[in-house]
Amino acid sequence: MASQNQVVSPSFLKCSQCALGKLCLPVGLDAKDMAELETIIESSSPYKDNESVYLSEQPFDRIFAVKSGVFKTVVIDANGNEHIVGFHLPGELFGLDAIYPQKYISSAVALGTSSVCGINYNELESLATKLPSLQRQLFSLMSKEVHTSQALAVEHSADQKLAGFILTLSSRYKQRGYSETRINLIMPRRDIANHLNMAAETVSRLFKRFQNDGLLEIKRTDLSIINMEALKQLAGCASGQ
Amino acid sequence: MKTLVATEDLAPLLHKYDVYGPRYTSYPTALQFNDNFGEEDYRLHAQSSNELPVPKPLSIYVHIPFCKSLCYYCGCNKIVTHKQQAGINYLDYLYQEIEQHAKYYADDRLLQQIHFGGGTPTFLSTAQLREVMEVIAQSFHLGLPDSLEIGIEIDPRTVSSNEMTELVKMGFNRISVGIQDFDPDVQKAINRIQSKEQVEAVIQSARDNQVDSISLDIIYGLPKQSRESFSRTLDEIISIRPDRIALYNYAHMPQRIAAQRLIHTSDIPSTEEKLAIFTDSIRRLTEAGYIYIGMDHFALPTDSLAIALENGGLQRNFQGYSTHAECDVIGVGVSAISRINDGFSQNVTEVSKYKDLVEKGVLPIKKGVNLTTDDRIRADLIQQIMCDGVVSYSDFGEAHDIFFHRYFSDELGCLSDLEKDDLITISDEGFSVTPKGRIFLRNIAMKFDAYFNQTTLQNTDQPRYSKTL
Repeated sequence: MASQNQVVSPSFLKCSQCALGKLCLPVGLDAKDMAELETIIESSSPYKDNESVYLSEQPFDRIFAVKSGVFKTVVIDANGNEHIVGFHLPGELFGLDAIYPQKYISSAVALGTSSVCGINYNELESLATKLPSLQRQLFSLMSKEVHTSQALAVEHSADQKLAGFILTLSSRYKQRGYSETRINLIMPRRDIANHLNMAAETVSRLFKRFQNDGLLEIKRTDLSIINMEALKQLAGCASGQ
Repeated sequence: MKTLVATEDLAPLLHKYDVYGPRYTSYPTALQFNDNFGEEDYRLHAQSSNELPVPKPLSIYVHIPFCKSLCYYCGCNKIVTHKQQAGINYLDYLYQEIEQHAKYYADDRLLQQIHFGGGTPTFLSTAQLREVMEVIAQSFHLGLPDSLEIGIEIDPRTVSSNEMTELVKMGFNRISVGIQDFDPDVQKAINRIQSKEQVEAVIQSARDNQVDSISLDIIYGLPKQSRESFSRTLDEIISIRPDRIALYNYAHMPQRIAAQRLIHTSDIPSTEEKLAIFTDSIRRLTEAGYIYIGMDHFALPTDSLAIALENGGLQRNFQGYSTHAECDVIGVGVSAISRINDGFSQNVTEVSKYKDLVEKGVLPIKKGVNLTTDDRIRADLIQQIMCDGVVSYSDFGEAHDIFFHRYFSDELGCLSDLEKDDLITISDEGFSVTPKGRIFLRNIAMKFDAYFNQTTLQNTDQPRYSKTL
């Protein structure tokens, strides 16, 4: 019943007590290893809407795990246009793309009041060499990132892309123990449009069409999936599931 | 729930629930608006409204504050003048304001509803009204003709049959005609003299041109009114058979409304008489086939309001009941109220201040309020009470992420009186308004108004609301 943006994991630092521990870095860690991980996690005060965690080109030192709310990562292309590469939900990591170039490629910006845990990468790296479960989870999360960007790179029609986007959010929220049929679309429509590379008007037109076709219902930012099967069919392979 | 109760046993309830209370055309009500709200707040709400997954359509309310003569009962914000030039000057600023609003909205926000109110919108000539419509059409993207509602309040003393024809041709498809009362003595006592012939000519002309909806406004409790005299007015109204009827209550508050001091208090019907006029009216109109919508409004069963009441699609906004109140409402002109996303704002009431601000290129906002989460929850609940009349605790709770019983535990504890008086029925799943209860919607809604008890009850000498009945 609770909507995603109101429920936050506890603000204290301990991974062992965080509701997102089952999804985030500590997957598979025992209590002792978890305690070690906790020593390198730093928490900060929540970010306000539109406030950035880091900007592109800044030197890389930490990766981040979303504790509450949503963050978007934005890159600037050669023509100076912003492109939103991803939305990051609680329990998801961002900043991983900075490991290779040793500087942040994107800027990370809060959507609504949101909070993160920062993890110093050098310390994480040396800890991971000691803790195989941590290393496995780190690789697994990185692989997921690669998978997502490949799924997005494939050409699809606009309605396939939007249906896929909704289904991806749905399954990611489901993993987090939230409802898979009720999603709070906190991101502005221009951000959804930008992310999917279509016009904002198209996003709304498609949402209205999906509503008229009985696939979903939208009240303000509250999206309910009515016909999951039909939505999946529409998305085809675009869902990236 | 659509058929009305026998009116004989209403009298004691009418006395009991005849208290001062808001009409809930908005929640929070205008009393909660504060001076800190400004254009930046408005801009942020407009921006958020543009960024919803599916932005709402737009509606524009145009306030024309001028009247050619003073109706003594009227508590509206208005300026009585004969100078047509006053209107011309005002329009120049009005156009600027319309353009200032328009720049805040995304291109795919279609304008679905246009409404002219006043004052007397027909103080303007048809040529002037056409010009206003043109400016609106240039500034906004209009919805398709078959879904575009264009309404205007008609003063039959200022509109000829030919002008009415022109208005309908221009696109006006809903008119509400101010009748108040057909009785000559009452008309004299309120300084609003208009013959039946005048009224009938305007209505005939609107009908000849296939206007979509005609609504007549009448008022009970006016000076010189009696059950007998009002019964003749009702005869006339029923024989005209408009789609909708608004039966307003005259609240005599001369201490607050200067114009009302021109009414002899001795001419005001007694409370008994007034309530009898009210029950007579309900009985006669329902016998004549009208459905009681709530909040003084009646509609023929074929009218969209009655159909919406039946199907659960009824809504309510500043202009009262509507079938598409889900729009963001832009109010332009002095004292006009906007509701955009989660913000209400009201323009300054003085024409001189209005012109000063518009000239500086800023929106002429006087005050407003940012809705809190609690405001939004209560606004939705009050809307549900006043429209569907059915509240399911689980559905409402789920829609707003609350446990209804816990969130409204105090309020739920205060409903037993309403239940005892058969205004609502309560079950484990929720409560619903009874047919009788629809006459007392304000009283039911007031129970869920977080501001009401604090702001009003202790201050009954200077009532800021009209009586509920």
